[in-house]
Amino acid sequence: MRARIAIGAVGVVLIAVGLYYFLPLGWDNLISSALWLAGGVVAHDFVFAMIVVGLGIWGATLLPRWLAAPLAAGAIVLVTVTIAVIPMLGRFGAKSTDPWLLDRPYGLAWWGFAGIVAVATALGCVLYRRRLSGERPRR
Amino acid sequence: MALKLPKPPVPREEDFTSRLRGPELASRVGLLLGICFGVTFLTGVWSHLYQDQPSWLTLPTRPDWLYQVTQGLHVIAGTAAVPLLLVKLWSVFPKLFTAVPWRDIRQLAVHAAERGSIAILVAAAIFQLASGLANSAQWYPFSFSFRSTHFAIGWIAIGALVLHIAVKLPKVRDALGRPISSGEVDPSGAGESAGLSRRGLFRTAMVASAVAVLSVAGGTVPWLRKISVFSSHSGDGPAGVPINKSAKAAGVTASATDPAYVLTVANGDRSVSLSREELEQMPQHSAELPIACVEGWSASGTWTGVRMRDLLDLVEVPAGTTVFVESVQESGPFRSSEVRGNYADDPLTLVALRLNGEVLALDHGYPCRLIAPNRPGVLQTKWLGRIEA
Repeated sequence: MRARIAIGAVGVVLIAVGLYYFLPLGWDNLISSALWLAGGVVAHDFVFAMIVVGLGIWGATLLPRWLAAPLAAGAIVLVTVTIAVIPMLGRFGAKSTDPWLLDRPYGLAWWGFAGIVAVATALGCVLYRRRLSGERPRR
Repeated sequence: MALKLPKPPVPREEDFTSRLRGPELASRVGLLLGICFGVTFLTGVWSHLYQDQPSWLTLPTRPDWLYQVTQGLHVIAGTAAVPLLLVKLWSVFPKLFTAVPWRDIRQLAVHAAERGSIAILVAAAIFQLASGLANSAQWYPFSFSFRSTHFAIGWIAIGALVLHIAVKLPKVRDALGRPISSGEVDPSGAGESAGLSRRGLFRTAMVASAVAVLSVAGGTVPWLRKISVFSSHSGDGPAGVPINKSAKAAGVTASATDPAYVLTVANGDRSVSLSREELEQMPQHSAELPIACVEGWSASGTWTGVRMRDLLDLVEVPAGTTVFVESVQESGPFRSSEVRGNYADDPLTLVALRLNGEVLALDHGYPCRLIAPNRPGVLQTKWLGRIEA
């Protein structure tokens, strides 16, 4: 218990250090940061997570098992990697004066990536169905 | 008479019945996520020390690739964290709907403290990843100052994570000691997950994380460039080295190509002014050094030019003296930088005139630029106009 209290105290001190650096940055900075801090939680908890939970229920209840598992795995890879590279996909930071920044064909690359995930998912479906064919059918 | 609308249905924690969720999954994904956040925090603080170097701290000039590695790791670990964070948040999502113990004040206070600390952790974690990834593509859709805010929230994020670990430690220890599938499948076989297994989900999260890393890591690992299809720079650029800010973007085209250009080296009332031709007539040295950008990309090149120390000797600057370098760029946060004594005296610190055998391109800093070992790219000042002790 003492170790936990000590670890917790370290956490509180680190948060305090963060506030020491954060609070003097000025009101405009604080308000803008607070909006983004809250916005991230709202976007995740009340939009993204709700959609994922809904799709999860749909997939688990309506899709056959051999399809649901590989589809879920493929979707996780495709969606999470896509979210990680949104700034590149949109080329939002591109500037005409800096031609060497964001200089790849990101849209084409995404379609290639999505294609590889789709093929891997299809292959997973075939292999998983074969593996399940020896088990007691559930649906 | 007021119309009484039915309350919208709010799910309860027990309404989420997926057997994939459980502390066995959350703790394993959380462990990997904790490693990623630990790496990003340490490398982030390290990077900050370079840019706001305290007077008491002397940063080493060797190994010359150190900043390239730490900043590359910073962005790679942050990218790896995105799939892990999303899976981790999914694994604990029902906790959002945990019943609030309204009637017991003490329990309510504990509940509020725990929920509050988790809210800080989740908000800070999402904020750090979103703002960091946007910065890696030089995209600033927010009005807060990126560097100072990302740094401050980084401390809050790691503090909230450490606090969370302290609260959950016994549960995490127990869960890590059990097989990941523990409690996932009823002994009777009833209620078995229809889709992925818990182990399958954990592996998928790791695969997604690895794919995300591979898709961007080529920005700093040259042999991954062909498969890193989402890296912010392809690696192309004048003399085979990419550029972050062009001469046009910096507004220096006219002053950098002015035939009357000279580099002034000053020490008190002593100063010398050297044209590019005069710089070329001084002893030339070559060094293979990386340009390692704070956004995480880097590229190495062979730079040729005059040693900084040789220039400082012209105006008798004592060894170990901190000097300041200024660009001909008229405005911008990185138009000047401080070069500490150990860097100024290092034989690898050059005022570069050539890159990979070619005359330095205007966008690389022509007529001359600073290049030093183990130093962030933004401090490798381009279009040098003045060096002052």
